[in-house]
Amino acid sequence: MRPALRWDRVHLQFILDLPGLAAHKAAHIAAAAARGGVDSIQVRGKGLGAGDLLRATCLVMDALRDVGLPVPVLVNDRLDVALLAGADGVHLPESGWPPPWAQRCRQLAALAAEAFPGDGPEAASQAATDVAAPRPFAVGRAIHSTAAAALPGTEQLDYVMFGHVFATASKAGLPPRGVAALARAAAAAPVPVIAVGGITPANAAQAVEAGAAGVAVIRAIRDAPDPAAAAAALREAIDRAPRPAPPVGPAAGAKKGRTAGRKEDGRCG
Amino acid sequence: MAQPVDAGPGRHRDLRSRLAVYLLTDPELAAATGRSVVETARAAIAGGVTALQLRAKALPAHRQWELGLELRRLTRAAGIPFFVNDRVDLALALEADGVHLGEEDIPVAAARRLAQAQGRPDFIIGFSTAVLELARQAVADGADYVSVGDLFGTTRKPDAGAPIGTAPLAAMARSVDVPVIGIGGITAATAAQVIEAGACGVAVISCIAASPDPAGAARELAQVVAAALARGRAAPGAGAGREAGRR
Repeated sequence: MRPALRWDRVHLQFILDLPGLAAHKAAHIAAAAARGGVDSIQVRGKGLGAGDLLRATCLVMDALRDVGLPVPVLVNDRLDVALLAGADGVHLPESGWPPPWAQRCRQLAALAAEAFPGDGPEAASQAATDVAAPRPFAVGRAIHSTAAAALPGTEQLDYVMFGHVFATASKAGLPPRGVAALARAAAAAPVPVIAVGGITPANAAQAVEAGAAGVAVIRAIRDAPDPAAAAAALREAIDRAPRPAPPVGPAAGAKKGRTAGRKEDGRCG
Repeated sequence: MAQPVDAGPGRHRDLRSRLAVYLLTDPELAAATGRSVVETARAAIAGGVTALQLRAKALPAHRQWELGLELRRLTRAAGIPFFVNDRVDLALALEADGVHLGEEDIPVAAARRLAQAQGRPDFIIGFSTAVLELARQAVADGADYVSVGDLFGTTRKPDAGAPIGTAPLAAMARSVDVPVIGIGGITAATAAQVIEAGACGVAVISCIAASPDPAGAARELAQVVAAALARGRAAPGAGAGREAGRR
């Protein structure tokens, strides 16, 4: 079974921050980001009711299916929303579930996958293509220190997301943790580390050189006049960046085998 | 997708009587009173609270989880139902008796589906609304009880509008076939009105959690509710709603 998330290239995650965006606009931006080459989309709705978060996640997943780019979708914090939307994973805030919860998340996801088998026409057509082959449930987690990269249970995660690496408007006034701290976290973590915080096409290579197996952005795509072009520019920058040897990402990603199934149904409708 | 309302074995058994005095936790109030949520819950259970809900929207998931574990231990020891506000994932992970949802939360039908998927046909779902049509839909989708408020003006819900009084609760109790409880600024002085309007119970926060004597406050409230329910049973036609005459 292929891994939940791809690590054969530097992973690019788009964090889709919903507050302030109409749900259809969010879905439109998600599809554009997928066209631009992102490898996963994390839907985040801090302060939104779970009902709105569920509806928006479903719209995003529908939009990705419509454009034929079933990029894995993770939901921030809310496992219940992720399971109900038929999403591909959950991203745990550092203040959320502790790392050992990854297995519990996957157990709940496996039960949900069993109970909601894919049987719609979309499932049939997508099953024929490699991109929709069974995919295990992904569990990532945010961290803000090198120590957190080595917490017990971290090895069960698909990735940890370390930040903020560079200065960013969403953490105004807080000093960035910097590339050196990112390198330490990447060395300490038993799983791929995704760098987040102020990542741009201009500085993304620095994160990759420091050992990040991926980068994540919010505004760089969301607020761009052309989100697809913005994603493509990031894609190009990280694909060109020299990766340190041995590559942390693929090695760490490859050693994990997941068993949870993925369903491709029209549950959102 | 939702199972019929009475599909869950035992889901409705004694639910009406179990909702008589229903305490919601409030970590901010706990901080203000200097008494922990767990201490208040323990005292309130000793005083006669019949149901407990973990409501801690401002706390991150892992804190809600830790608090939930302690509260679940207390409620299991006392044999009373334990509910979690809003988060179906947390409720299922804690093996709570149910979840309480509002109009902005995960739809009742979806929560019911998730509970079934996790092998919990007994999972109880409560729904907050004062709108009859939303309540009827929620019940059709698998809600087991309805909570109506803000009756008298709560101080614990910043987004609550003007208090609505007991008339909408009476209308609700006549309109849906599941237990109805009242919420919002209820005290021992007003609890009887709520029962007389057709509720089978009262949900409270401050009345118990802000009291210097939470066990005493719970005891007083439980006595008022029990007496009002007994009067309703003695004169089944007298209440505004049919709930007063039912068990």
